[in-house]
Formats: sequence, C-alpha cells, structure tokens
Amino acid sequence: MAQEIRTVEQRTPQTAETAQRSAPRPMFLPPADIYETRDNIVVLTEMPGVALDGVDITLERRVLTIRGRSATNDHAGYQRVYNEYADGDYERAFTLSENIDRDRIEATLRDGVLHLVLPKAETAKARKIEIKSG
Amino acid sequence: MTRDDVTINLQEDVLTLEGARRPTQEQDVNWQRRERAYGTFSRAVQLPFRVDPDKVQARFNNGILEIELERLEADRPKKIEIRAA
Repeated sequence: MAQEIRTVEQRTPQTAETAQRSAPRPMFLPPADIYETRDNIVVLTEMPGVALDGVDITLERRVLTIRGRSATNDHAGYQRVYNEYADGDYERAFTLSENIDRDRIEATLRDGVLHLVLPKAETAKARKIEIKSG
Repeated sequence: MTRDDVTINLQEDVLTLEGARRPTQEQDVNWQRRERAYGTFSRAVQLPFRVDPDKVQARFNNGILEIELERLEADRPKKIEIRAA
C-alpha cells in the first residue's frame, strides 16, 4: 500500500524584502539540488511550466542567476474549483564555490527540470603537488 | 521523471496518481544542496462526479501533468417530468 509522502510546500514566493515586481504574477524560489563531482558542479532546478524559450541563465563572476518564465495556462470554458498550484515565474541566484569554465557550460531543460553542468575551471581542480626532497 | 515513472488510475470518481523519482545515478558525488523531493509519491483526488474512463486525456508538458476528464453521460442530472395526476 502506497503511503502519501508529506512534503513541505517547496514553492515559496519571494518575500516583500526583495524588489516589488511590476508584473502581477507570483515569483517562486525553485527548489534546487546542487552536487559536485570531480570535474563538474551540477545544478538541478525544478521549474514546471517553463519552456525552452522562457529560461534565462546568466553567470557573472561567480554568481549564477536562473530565471524562468512559465507559459500561462488559459483553460477556456472551465471553472477553477481547487487551486493548489499557481502560475508564476521562477528566479534563484547562487554564488558558486568554484571557478567555472564558462565556455563548456551545458544546460538542458526537460520536463520542467533544468540540468546545468558547470565544468570546473582547470585551475580549480586540485592539482597534486610533488614534493621534492631538497 | 519520465512518462513510465507515473501511473494514473481511475476508479468511479476517485483519481489516483502514483509514482517514484530516483536521484541521480552518478558516482562520487558530493552534495552541496538537496532540496528536491525524491522517492515514491501517491495522491488520490475525489472528483465531484463520475467520469468516463474511455474519454480521459492526460498531457505532460514542461513538467506539468494535465488530466482532462469528461463526466459520465449516465451521471448527468436528468430532468424529471411531472405528469398531471
């Protein structure tokens, strides 16, 4: 028998401390997974409703900003009975811990999940230092 | 998650969604941040009326699952004529 997993609502709207948006749509903080392999940093964010043309990724110095604009769902002829899910845009910024090789960044968007592979810059990879007996 | 990871069941007026999401299979991973949910999930929704299981349409676009259900013809309210006694 499958059990219902209780998860905390992950789609938290931005608080009023951040600048007010001019558009009347809510802005969500997409949940993100970040993990590091030997050569890359991989970022996975969930932005349901965002198509390829609605994603904007910028990397300035070491700050990575991900923005997603979701397509509005217009259900003509239907009446909204229950609303747990709201149409909104996504934005999240991260300061990366490593220096990234910008030219080799790979980003794929599939089913609303953004998969970002950020290869570490050559200098960032740990280099084994030889100790010579002197 | 792909199409095969989710099952949708319909019984009378209850719609059940079940599925599972597995984390990455990569080796030698050092997690910095883990906010997304993994594991199995299940949700049952009670619909306001019985629906026709042959006329269900399920769409999966950009991560949003949209299920369109049509009310069962036999479930529609029928007007009852009052005959003069």
